[in-house]
Amino acid sequence: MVEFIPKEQREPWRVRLLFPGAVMLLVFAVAAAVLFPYLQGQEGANVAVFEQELRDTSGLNIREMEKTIEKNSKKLTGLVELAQTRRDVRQAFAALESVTHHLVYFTGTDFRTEEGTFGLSGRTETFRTLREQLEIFRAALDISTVELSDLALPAEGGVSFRVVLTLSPQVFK
Amino acid sequence: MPMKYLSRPILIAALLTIALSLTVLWTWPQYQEFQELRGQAIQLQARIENRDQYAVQLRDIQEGLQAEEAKLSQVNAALPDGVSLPALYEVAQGLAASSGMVLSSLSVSVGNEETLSGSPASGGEEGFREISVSLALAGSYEDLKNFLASVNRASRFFEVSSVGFGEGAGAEQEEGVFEFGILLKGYAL
Repeated sequence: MVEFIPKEQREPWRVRLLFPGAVMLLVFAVAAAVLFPYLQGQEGANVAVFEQELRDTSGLNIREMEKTIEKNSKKLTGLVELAQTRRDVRQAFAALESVTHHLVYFTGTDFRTEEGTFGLSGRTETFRTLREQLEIFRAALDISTVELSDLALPAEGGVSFRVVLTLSPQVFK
Repeated sequence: MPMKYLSRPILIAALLTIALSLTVLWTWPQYQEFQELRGQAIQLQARIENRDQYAVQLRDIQEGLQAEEAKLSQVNAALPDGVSLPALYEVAQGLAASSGMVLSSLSVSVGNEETLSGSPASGGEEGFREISVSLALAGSYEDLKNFLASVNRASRFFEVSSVGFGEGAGAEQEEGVFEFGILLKGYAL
């Protein structure tokens, strides 16, 4: 059969679909190729602004505030710590008064707070009084150790001695 | 098939090739760089926000401290900034006078910066300076007890480190009056 009027050949359906698809894809690719460098420039500008903002801390005085707060907080915690550990020396003398024999005379004192020790130079008339004094010291709850030394018999009479007392930590509370 | 329809697949292939090449060689690297910058910008923004929040918190704390000005000044009196010797002498003299003792000599030594536990202050950290005040005071035993009470009540913080009197260093001067050697320990930041 010979066709008298030739018909236009129709494109295959794949070509009909693919061609506009390929055109659209190219359009997107071109648009993206233009868009991303533009967005990149925008973000680059943002980064520069943020970096500048981070560098510029002059208005905030952060370092100054930190220093003030740090100093005050250090002082506060330091003071609390010191107040908690401070030993009330008056209590040590009060404790000593309560255990001093009425016939013993202390002529010298060397009190050391940190060690909690009382070095006492004293005098008494007899060894008996000294023994009684030592017994009082040893019986006292506030005294943990008693060390007698430098026992001597001075020319003017009586007995001179040196005793080192270690006080219990609760004495200072 | 006519020529015009034969060239369409070639055109499609060419368009796809161009689109793909453009995407792979240009757009994709640009996109990655953009993402990187975006991430960087987000991070920086977060850092700015954190810093601003931190500044607000610091300001709140500072305002809170300012509201407690009276207490803060007591703390500052107890542990002052710097070692001011004239102020120290004044305090020592005041303590002696208020307890009825006579201050006959005074010497001060200032230690290195360290923490209150005694370890040296680490690099950059501001430590406390220990100030040792050695006093020679004349007075009675009752005056000594008053002095010890005054030290405890003083606005400036002092610890009594040692108390000594005896026939050698502090002989009895007149009836009931002794010379005491007292070592006080104070601190300054």
